[in-house]
Amino acid sequence: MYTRLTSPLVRDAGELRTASWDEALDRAAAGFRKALGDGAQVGVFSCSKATNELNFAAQKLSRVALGSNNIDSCNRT
Amino acid sequence: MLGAGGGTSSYQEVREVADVIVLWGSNAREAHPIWFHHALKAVHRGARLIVVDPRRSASAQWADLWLGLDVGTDIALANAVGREIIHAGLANEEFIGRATTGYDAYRESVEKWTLEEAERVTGVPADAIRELAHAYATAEHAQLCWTLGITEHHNAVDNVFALIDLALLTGHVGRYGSGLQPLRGQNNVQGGGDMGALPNKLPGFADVEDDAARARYEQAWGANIPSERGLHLSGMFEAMAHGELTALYVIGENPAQSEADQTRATELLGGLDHLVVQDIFLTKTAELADVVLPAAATWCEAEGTVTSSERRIQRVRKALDPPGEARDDIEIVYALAQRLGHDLGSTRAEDVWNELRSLSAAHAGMSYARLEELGGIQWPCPDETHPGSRFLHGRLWEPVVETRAPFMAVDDEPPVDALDDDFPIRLTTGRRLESFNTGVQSGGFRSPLHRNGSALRLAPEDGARYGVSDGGRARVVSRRGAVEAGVVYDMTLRPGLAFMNLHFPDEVATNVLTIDATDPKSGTAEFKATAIRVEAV
Repeated sequence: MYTRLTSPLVRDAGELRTASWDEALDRAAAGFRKALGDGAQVGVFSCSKATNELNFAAQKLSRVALGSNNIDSCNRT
Repeated sequence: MLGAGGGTSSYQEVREVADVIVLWGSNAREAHPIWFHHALKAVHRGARLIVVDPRRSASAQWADLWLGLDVGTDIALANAVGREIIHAGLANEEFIGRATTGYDAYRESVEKWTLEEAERVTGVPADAIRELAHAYATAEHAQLCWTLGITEHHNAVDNVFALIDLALLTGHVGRYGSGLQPLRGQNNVQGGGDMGALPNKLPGFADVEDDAARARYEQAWGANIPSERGLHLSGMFEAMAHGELTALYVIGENPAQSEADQTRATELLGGLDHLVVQDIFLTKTAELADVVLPAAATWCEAEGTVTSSERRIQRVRKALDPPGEARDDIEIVYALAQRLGHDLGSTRAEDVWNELRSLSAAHAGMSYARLEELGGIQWPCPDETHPGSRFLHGRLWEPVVETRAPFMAVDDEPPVDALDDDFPIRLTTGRRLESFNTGVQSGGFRSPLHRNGSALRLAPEDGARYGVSDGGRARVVSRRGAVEAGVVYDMTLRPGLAFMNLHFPDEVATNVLTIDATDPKSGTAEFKATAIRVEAV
């Protein structure tokens, strides 16, 4: 049985703990910056249950902010 | 093949016009219940429903004719249908000559698929194949519809080609009442692709490798877009395996349980340097993440639009605020972009939509106000006076067809996971009416409908043969792993065919068994064909 997520979480010493939005978004961005800085590839899985607008936003983030066409969703069927 | 990534026809055509509806590799009665309501209305007014499915599924039980082919023999069957149409003189020669290319090569390629040969390979009686061929070819209006039974194979794209060939052979495409429909399995599978959440397509169907097209988006966004297509989902897993892709952003998906060969998928996700998951629940994928971002349930906590299998864009309206600190998904995505140094613009759904309209000619005429007024609009809708398009490819019926539709000659290729003495049973997977995918949203309520939900379904003959009883338990073993599951005898299965679903992965992890052999063009894994053995426990 799943219950709704109501707070951002970040991993510390192997465990997920609650965090502020600022901390979570900073951590999320830092990880992508590091991967791109290391010359690694990054990817985005978008969501076929969400709206057109969200899917548009996700591909724009991938192409513009991450500089990557590695974006997909479960529409390969 | 026809040049647009969407179903060619409308539900209205199924419901009101088609004489023959062929449902191939789809159990729509359970997996696409809304679409099936339209089909049932058609049956009620006298249309013939023909179902092609290895199982005598709930959909097949409504059909006039059921063709219970062996898993993975769709091309053999389709080519035999094509050959029979040609030999019976039922091909639409006028349409073929005017609107298609490659007919001679197609005709040669299907010539070996006599009814008898197809019966030998597919297990479907020759008479039933002939009946399908004649019913489809002689119908005034026919709809050919398919889903994952066609596409969750290592040769998915060839399977689709084999079906489209039948529409070209008979002219059942491009006019009101006749068409081709790939039924979409979630509320916005169609729209996700239309919006450019694809490695090779920009929003509005532009090819990312088309320099002129890409330049338009680069100018609009003030950014450089990579000129080569990216990796699809399966390709990203490959790149993770090679250590080339190290950071991943997952929005509203649960690949740790939805991917084929789940053990491998979970290892790869767990091995990433950086995994960010945005979801409404702490899924098994989110449990592996470095950062979890709490999102809105977009069907009731966000404004926006979704696109159905008939290309209809419909509004979604916000009724509730997301709980606690959970946020609107677009706000989250754009806040992350901001921290990466890019301002992507307004997060208001209508502003995002209007930006899409400025880039995609097919959506240009669909303001929120018009979507409201008309109760949804089908793309393409190029301007604000356009009513939207009920069906596609009417151009094929113009006196002079500028861009003809090519026949694609394809041949039978058996599933990758071969049957042998150690793995003698063919396992196929699918959906149940009351459940949704990995059960994150549908597994949490108690219901008699969930009874035996996670069970392995077996033909009674196989149960007796392998010593597992109805209501007992069994160990199910594939070349990739093993799970234990309850057993239910199922009269809709023939000996040698077993069925499981993926809805209760915390009880029975079906995708531990499945193979991640994928179609090189579509990237879709062969969920529908696993070789297993069954052991008593």
